[in-house]
Amino acid sequence: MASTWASAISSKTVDQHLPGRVLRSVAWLVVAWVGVAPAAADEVFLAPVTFVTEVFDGKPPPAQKLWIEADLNTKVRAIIGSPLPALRQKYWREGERTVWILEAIGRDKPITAGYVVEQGAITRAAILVYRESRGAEVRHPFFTDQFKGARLHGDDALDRNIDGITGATLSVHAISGLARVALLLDHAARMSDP
Amino acid sequence: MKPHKSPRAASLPVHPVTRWHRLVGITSTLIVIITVLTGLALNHADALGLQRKHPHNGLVDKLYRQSAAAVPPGYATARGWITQIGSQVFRDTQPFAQHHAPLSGALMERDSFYLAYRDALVQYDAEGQVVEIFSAMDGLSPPLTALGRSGPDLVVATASGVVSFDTVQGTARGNTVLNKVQWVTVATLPTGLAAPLAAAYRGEGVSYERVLLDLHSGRVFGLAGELVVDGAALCLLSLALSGAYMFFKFKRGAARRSR
Repeated sequence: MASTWASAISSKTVDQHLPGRVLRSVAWLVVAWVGVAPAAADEVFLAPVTFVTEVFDGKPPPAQKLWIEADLNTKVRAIIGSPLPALRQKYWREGERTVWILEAIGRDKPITAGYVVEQGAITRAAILVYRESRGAEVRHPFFTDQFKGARLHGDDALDRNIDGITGATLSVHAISGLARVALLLDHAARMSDP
Repeated sequence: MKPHKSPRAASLPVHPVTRWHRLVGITSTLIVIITVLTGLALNHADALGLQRKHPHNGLVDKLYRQSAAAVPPGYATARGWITQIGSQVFRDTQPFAQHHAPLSGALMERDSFYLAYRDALVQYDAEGQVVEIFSAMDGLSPPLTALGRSGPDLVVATASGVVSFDTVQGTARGNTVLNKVQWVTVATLPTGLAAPLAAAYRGEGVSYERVLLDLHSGRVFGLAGELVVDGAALCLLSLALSGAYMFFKFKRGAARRSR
């Protein structure tokens, strides 16, 4: 459209069709904008049921419940900005291995992630459902593999630095926060039922 | 006296930028007037007290869905009516919980409320605190479309059929026989509950400032309104550009003629 205007202004000949051409250009721009506008939709990368089944080689144990005490929820709120959604948190346990399906809001919508914790360290992290319009790169193993072996140390922080992804900062924060929450919950579960 | 238009002037071709200027000016007039007037009012919102005044008429109530008639039916439980307006769930007229998915059933079992939403079955305590969320992980494949009882068990209509749900274990037991189920049904709220509920939901309602702001931005008519106002803004920009262009073009022409 800018070139249309520029040519019209510089040209000595009068273009009688200029208004129509400009209107058509604007219409096409609107159509193009609507076409490329990001549409947020739930992206299920791995159904939570499938994740749990995979972890336990097709034979998941019955789900267990952890009552979330007030002080634990205070810690969770400090990490992810909101308490856990329910007073009872479901998890799966076999020996020293626990599996947690957790949610946290990245920018506007919750991200569902799964964590496998063994002897106080994360052995697998996976993005299961992603609902934000941008930042889904966090699903890739180059990002999630950084959590393998991660443990909690002082101030309930991870014992390592997690590299971020440009354009997915809030999602990275949410996934890192949930990793800390999974480790906290694992600790609480092992304390309540050694 | 009416100005006389010379035959020569009448026969001269109108410059396309002038035609564009006229066309855009006339088509965007109404929207520009609305935008300017609402903008002026918003600029003096404090002085005019627009935040403290709340319009209540049929059109505004309808646009913002804040009329008593907009209150949907609810579910009668042993301890009050459960109704969902938007994502807000009420117990009688008190805010009880928040859930974005539509409600498809509610009942009480022992001291807990069980509310079936399209995406999950949620157990609440009497204060509305979420005790546990049951979803596909627990054998309840969404959408959950109805909630009922069959003997001591809860029964949920799920995508994979009617499922009997053990509230003690928190797990689905499997499909059940349909004719033994007592489904909870949606019912019109008792007289005297709908109006206070609507008032509790909307508070005093939207302020004049909000209505004017939505008119100013076009949001009051949704995405279409926003696009129309976007178009009017671009029209204003093009009017300024074409006006400036004509000013310098005709000024140069006049200077040439005077020479």
